Amino acid sequence: MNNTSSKNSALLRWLKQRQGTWKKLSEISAPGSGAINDVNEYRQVLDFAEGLRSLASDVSLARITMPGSQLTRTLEILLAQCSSMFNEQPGGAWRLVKRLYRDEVGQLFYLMRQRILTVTLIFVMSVFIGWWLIINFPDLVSLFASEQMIEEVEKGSLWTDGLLNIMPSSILAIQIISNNVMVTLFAYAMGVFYGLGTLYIIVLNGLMLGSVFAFTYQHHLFERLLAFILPHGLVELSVICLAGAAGFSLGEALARPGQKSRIESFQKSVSVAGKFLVVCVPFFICSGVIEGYISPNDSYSMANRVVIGVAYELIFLLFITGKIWQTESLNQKSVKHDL
Amino acid sequence: MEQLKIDVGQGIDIRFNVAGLGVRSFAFVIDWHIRFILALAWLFFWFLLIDFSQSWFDNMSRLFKESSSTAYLLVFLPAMIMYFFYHPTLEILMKGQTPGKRMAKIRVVGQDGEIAGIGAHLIRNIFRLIDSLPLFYCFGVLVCLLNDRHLRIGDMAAGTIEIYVDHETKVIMDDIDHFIKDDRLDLEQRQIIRDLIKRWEILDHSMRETLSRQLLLKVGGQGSREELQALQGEDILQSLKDILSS
Repeated sequence: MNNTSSKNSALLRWLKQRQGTWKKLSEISAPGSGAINDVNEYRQVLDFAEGLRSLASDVSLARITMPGSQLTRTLEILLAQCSSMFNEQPGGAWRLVKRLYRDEVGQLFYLMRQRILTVTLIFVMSVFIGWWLIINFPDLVSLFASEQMIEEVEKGSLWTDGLLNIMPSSILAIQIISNNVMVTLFAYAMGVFYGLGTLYIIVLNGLMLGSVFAFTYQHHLFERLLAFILPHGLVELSVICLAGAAGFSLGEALARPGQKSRIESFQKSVSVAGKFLVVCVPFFICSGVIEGYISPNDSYSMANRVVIGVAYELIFLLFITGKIWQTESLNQKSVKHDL
Repeated sequence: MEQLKIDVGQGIDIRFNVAGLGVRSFAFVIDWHIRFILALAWLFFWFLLIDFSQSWFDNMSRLFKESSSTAYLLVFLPAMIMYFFYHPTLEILMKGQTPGKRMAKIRVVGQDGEIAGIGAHLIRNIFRLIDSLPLFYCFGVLVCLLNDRHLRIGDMAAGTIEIYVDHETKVIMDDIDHFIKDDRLDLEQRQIIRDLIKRWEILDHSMRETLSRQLLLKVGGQGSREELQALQGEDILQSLKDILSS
């Protein structure tokens, strides 16, 4: 009885002594408490680090004296929360975005240059195959185009004619942006099937483009379709090829993980390739806006369309290679071959 | 149950139970209902606002038929954003939780136990496209079943894992407060009483009353020994609550 009572009084003394620190740490580390911002202050960081160190001692002591108790578990969880908060990357989404767009974009392009080239070649070949198929076997067009599209072209008009009469530019732009985002995300994520999903999407898109071009060529509408596609199409197709390259890198990471484990290699690849997609987001939006406002608008001449399309593609290429910021990221020596 | 071991440095590692398919599905179903109801509530709000004189159903059918640009931008687009951006937005804002996950007492963390970053949350949600193939998350569920840590493809890609966070830290801190003020009831006894109250409804009547009487006698509830033994039903429960709050 005496033993229990002295144990209780020792526990009481310890709790009285340590309770203040635990409460403070608990308040700071509570999810969504907002107190996380205060930790940025120098003095508070020191206090927090000291509290964390003493909490680790408390956990050790509690594990020895009260194994399996609720108090021990509470202290363990508090320690895990505080430790994970202490090790958390400094915040500031804006800073991360700036670093990605200014410093990392060129490096990413350099790392993925071979895959980008491969995917672009596959896409271009698919376009030619699609063209060749329809020129030689016109009936196959029903595989790549909807009945409505085929009927329109056979009547001598494009499905894009009078698009602005059907819906306003703003809606059109939003629909196009959503569609582009979905195709790009799918091309990327389908890489998880050892790159085969990505290959399917790239080849299918290439075949569709080639076959539709060939079909409109047969009906003397090729120039009009080209005029529609030119202002936005170059960048849009480039982004799809980049997403394909990102998807292929996932597939390759799974198929050939190298010295890393398959899952480590996959995670690394997802993170690098995913950044590349984030870089493309503003271009999706601009392409959608151009496709909604400029492409279907007949008041733009062919020359204007060529200038817009080529200039936009040039800006895109300068940006994606990192040359627009004149960073040193293209320096071959500075890039690690770790993808 | 599979456990995640987190190394917090200083020679200490802490274990957390990994959330299984059942609890993850439970959280998802709750979240799905919340986002669906939110999106629907937004639509109804606008249908009401557009024309008070007509019924909800008429408004809805009229909007779907006309599909005007204003209706699309003001009504449908925000509803779609609410539905599709629910998971990534809330997971980032609530540090790995959503209302559904909070109710299911689980949280998304990095596989090293650290708080998952914005990038990780975005990636795990992008890969929902694959997990949801061919429909109703079949692929994700299958993958989840086939690995020990119950990870779907999105988790594997983002390096995240879902763990149980069902511990009531605040309650234990309050217990310490009470114990410091009045040490007649120690922390362990408080926990036993709280567990008993929590499970009151699911325990057998006679069993819970016997247990409670024994407990009250041991910890010295208010009243004499005879009075405590004579307590029945809700009075016993109330006595237990009184002890905790006294």
